[in-house]
Amino acid sequence: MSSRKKVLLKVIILGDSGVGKTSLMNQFVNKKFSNQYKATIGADFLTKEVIVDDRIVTMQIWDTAGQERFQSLGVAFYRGADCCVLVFDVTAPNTFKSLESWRDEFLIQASPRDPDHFPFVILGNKVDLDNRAVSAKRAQQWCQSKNDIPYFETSAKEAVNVELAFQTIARNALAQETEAELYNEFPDQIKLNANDNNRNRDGDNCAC
Amino acid sequence: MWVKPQEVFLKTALWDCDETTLYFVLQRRKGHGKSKGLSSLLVGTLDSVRDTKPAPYRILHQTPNSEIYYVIATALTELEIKQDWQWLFENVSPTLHSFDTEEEITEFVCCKINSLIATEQESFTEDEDTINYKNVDYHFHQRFGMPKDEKLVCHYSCSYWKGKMPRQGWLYLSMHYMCFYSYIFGRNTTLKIRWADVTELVKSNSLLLPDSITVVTRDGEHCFTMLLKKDETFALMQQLANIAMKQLIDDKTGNYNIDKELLTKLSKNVPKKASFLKRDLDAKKQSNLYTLRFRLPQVEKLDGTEECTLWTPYNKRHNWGRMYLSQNFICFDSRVANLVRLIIPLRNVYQVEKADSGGTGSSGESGSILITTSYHTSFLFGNISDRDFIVHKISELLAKLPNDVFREKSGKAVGGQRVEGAWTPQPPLMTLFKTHQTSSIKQIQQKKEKQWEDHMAEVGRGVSMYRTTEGSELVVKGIPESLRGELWSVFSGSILQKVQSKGLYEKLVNEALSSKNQANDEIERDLHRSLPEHPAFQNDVGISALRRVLCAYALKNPTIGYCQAMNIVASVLLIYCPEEQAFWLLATICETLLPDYYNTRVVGALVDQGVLEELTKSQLPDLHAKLDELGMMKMISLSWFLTLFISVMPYECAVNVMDCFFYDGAKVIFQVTLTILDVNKEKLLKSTEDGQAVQILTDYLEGIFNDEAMALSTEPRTAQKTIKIQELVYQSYRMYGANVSSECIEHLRLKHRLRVVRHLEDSLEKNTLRALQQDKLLDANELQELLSVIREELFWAKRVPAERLEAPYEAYRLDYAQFKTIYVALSPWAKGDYAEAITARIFKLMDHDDDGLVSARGLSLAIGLSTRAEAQKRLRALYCAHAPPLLSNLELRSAQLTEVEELADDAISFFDSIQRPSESIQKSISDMGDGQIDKSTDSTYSPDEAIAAEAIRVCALGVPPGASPGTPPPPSPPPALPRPHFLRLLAALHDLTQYSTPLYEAVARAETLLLQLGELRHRPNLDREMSQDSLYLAAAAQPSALEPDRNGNLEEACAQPSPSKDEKDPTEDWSITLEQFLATMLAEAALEEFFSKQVSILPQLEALRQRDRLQSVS
Repeated sequence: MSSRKKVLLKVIILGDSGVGKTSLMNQFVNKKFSNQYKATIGADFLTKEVIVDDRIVTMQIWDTAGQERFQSLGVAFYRGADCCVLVFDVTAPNTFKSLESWRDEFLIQASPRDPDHFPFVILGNKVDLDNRAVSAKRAQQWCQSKNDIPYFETSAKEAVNVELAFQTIARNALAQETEAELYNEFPDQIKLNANDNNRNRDGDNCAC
Repeated sequence: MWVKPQEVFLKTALWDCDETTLYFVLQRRKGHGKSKGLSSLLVGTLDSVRDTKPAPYRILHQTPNSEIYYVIATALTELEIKQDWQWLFENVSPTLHSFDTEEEITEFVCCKINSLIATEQESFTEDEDTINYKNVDYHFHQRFGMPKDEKLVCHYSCSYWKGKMPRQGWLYLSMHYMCFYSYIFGRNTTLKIRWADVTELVKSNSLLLPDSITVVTRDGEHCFTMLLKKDETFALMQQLANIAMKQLIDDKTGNYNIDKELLTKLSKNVPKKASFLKRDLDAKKQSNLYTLRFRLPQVEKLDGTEECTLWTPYNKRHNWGRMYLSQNFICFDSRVANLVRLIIPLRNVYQVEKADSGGTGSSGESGSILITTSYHTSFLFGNISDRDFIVHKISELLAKLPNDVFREKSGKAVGGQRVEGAWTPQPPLMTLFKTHQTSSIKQIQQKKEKQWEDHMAEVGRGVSMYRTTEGSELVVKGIPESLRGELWSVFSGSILQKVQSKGLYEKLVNEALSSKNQANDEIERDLHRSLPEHPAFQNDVGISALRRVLCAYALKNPTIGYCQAMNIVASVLLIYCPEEQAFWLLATICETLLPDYYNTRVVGALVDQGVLEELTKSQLPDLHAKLDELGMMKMISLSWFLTLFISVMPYECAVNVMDCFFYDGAKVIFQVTLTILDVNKEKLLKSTEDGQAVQILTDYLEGIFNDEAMALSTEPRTAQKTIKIQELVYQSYRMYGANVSSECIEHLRLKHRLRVVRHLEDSLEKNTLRALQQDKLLDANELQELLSVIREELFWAKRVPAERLEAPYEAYRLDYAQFKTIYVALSPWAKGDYAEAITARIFKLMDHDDDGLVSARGLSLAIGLSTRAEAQKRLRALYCAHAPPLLSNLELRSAQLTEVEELADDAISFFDSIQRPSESIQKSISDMGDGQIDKSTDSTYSPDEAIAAEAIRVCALGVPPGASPGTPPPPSPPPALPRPHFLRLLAALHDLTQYSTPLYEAVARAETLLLQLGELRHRPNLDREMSQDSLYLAAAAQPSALEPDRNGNLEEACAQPSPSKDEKDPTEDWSITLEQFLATMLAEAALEEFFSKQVSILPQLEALRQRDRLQSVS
């Protein structure tokens, strides 16, 4: 395992329209905030290299469209995801309520190997705003009820907690990856057309 | 209806005379209307047995001295016959006195009637064909058990391959089904496939099965061969399958007006012959091609075409081609593709004249027509073989134009409303927010403007400009910014819509801005996320205009509402076009150019992804294989299509693609996409994962540049330049322009729509099943079956469009009649005499939002509760269904009133009495079905009652059927049952247990006890909550000998004076709580056992499906 040089993590960001998915991604990758983004149609992605526990990891972050009618189209992007980030807007209770359905939909469509332990991270965004409507406690409770999903309160605008959240995302996804390796011996569980790292890993194994 | 005078001898046999004059008799068929003797009954039966069914009313002509009568008119209704009678009386009778002999009178009458028929019946042609069709139609309905309103379109002789044996027989194509029947060597083969289930239609030609049509459904493949008219059959099948698909899209989204129109048209012409229906469908197809070709409004219906020449003044030539006529337009398209094309709106036509002496040249002299428009331009058509006919036709069309009406109205509307609205439509935003331009770019733009001015000087300006090859070349090079607005509107045809609906935009804006709804909220959120880089949208002027356009459109077309991506497209339109024009351009994009793209399930975009995939497969097979392997074939181009490249290319480049898109239609996006893929093929083939491939394309797209316009983005360009947009567009035409034609796109769209809709339906069903399983009542098998029964049931009924589905099962909603059909067939609770009442109670319990509709979950819960739930839950549900306000005092009272004033309270009561459930409930519910849902609901519950009803539902089910399953039920005590309500509950219990003596006795025992408990309530010092112990004590007490019998109870309840709240009623304090009820009921072992019995509903489901089939046969 230590011989592996490059790791690619595919991260999907989901959540209702207007909660700040694109902004979060851009804040994390480009370290800047702009209020001049177009609404995301279909999907978009950015990559960033991060170091997690002395390992260089390439995060491929997929930003998706939030409007409900696009929800069913996300399927194509979910494939091979290593981690799923669910975002809501702390000033809009509806976006919090939708988390459940985003999570369910993701699990159904992506059908990960181990749905109960698939790494999710919840981000309550826009904490810089005054008109907060979802309390941290309420969000935390929900996260606990869903197998202790890590919860962060972020502000893409003021770069609050964004770095930390994505670090956690990378770490959790990586942990899942390591675990996944154990499963890989079972042929029926090998992901078909899986992302890059699976194939690299196979190559490495041969080289060893 | 006048009929050809025919002699009849028996004047009175089987007929009653209603009115008689000297020369005429008005008769009514016995068995109709007022007369109710035995003989009339007999006649009625005879008629229906013989299936002769003569019209029930007729008028005879007679003369006093003759025994011969002539039937001269028949009618189905009294009103109709009275009209004819009146006409005779006013017009014919007075003149009859002037004749000398009776023979003359008869001759005159017959002659008069014949002439009436002759003038009336121009369109009415009943011939042998009709009779033949009627026969086939009859057999079709009998054989396949079709509902009466199913219409046969055509039938063909062919062979169906069942296994390895071909079966010769008949293929029937109807509006919703394709069927096959053969009867050979005593073997019967029938096949019935619903169009909505077809996933693919293939014309194939293999060695084994030459010249065959294969129909693929979810369940398998069916192969037909030896068709005499294979192409015609196939085309018709395709068309019908697509109508079915569009209906499916439709069902959830609202209306798809064209098909609706066709369908209503069909239903109006019930007895028409097959060829008519077929002809109608053909005509519709032609019209579709016609409107597509000339970008006309979709409702335009092609009238006819004619070979002729068009004189083009700019090159002084006669061009051969075809003239198209329809209600509002004259169009021309040259035989040589793209040479010249012309659209003349009839409203602009000022004069049509024959132009023989024109002397314009050699070929154009004979049969010329000169059309002059009110804008002083004229168009010369020549070589028309039947000129008189064409001129006649055009003047006929002109006469039908309602254009004066339009002009007057719009003038007034504009003047009146501008004052009250607090907004003014904006001019093109680019004129208000000028972006900086360098001098070289200014020069380029000016040069282009000059080119276009020169071009338009030759070919004319506006709708009726000649669309020439030269024009297309100019478009490909990019339209100058200043002319975009005008030319986009002209090329896309949106200008025609704008002109036809003058004033509509203002009206829509005023209405839309004052309403609050989900679409408006979504729009609001996206206003600043549309084209933020343009200064116009960093300002309230642009933002407000965008808001108006989007909100107005959401209101105009609720099937789409607002879809992200529309904001991006609309903002670009606003830059170049005046506001109203931008609105109509958006409408044209959403409805014509990119049909169904932005609806609630983005069906159109999905369809086009399929089309693109197929095109890629045929044009770039190796790349297709690669992209498919990467799993990105389905996703790369979604945003490209939805935003017309605006979100992926630099803005100033995307608008060049839009130039061509408006000129040539959706094919342009396909050819540009293919070109982009083609250019990047090598790189893409080397990519190893989807991210990499997407990156390649993103880099390429961002690197596209345009030297001829200023970049909008002020940020320094980071992407490396890849290709000049003009070059890309030119390449796309050169490489794929010919291979990707509009007709080809349209054809492929038909094909892929089948698959996409099927897929969406399947996933909806899957999601519904998953959601329903969480209730853990019925098992997966039963739910699957139940859902298919529901689907079948809903198929014939109109489905409710759902704007936003809270849960997948909400897509399947049943009204009371549908609910009843299934519930009565499946639930063990709905078996007795009281079944109707129980069903109605349960329906109301499940109808959580009181809209007269219950979702699939409601039904599955209702059935699950009666078959699977624990005894306590079942009893609880029964109890709650009878609790107020679900069972309101009003309903109880109306039950008592029914004897006296049957209909008096129809209007106020939601459900009528329980005594007469079958009629009144259906009545009130069918009323609701007609769109009075809101009113009846309003009158049913006050807000307090609505909350109470909600609480009861929560209590009965744990969760109301509307809430998502899985959330814990909030604890809320159910209300106590007053005596009248309790008696109803008892009646229901009796009904459930009536077939078993021990059960019945157990109920009787429990009932006595409960009635006594209820009496206890009168004692003031008794605690409200009775302890379990005291209940058991009470339960242990033996029922007294005075066991009240069931009917006695009911009568007592009914006999009570109307329990209006004001009076002090003896039953007022009487009540039973849920705890008491449950404890008492469950104390009876027999009852507990009965209510714990696990029942499988699979046999009933199977029976129901069987019965459905049989029922439709009869």
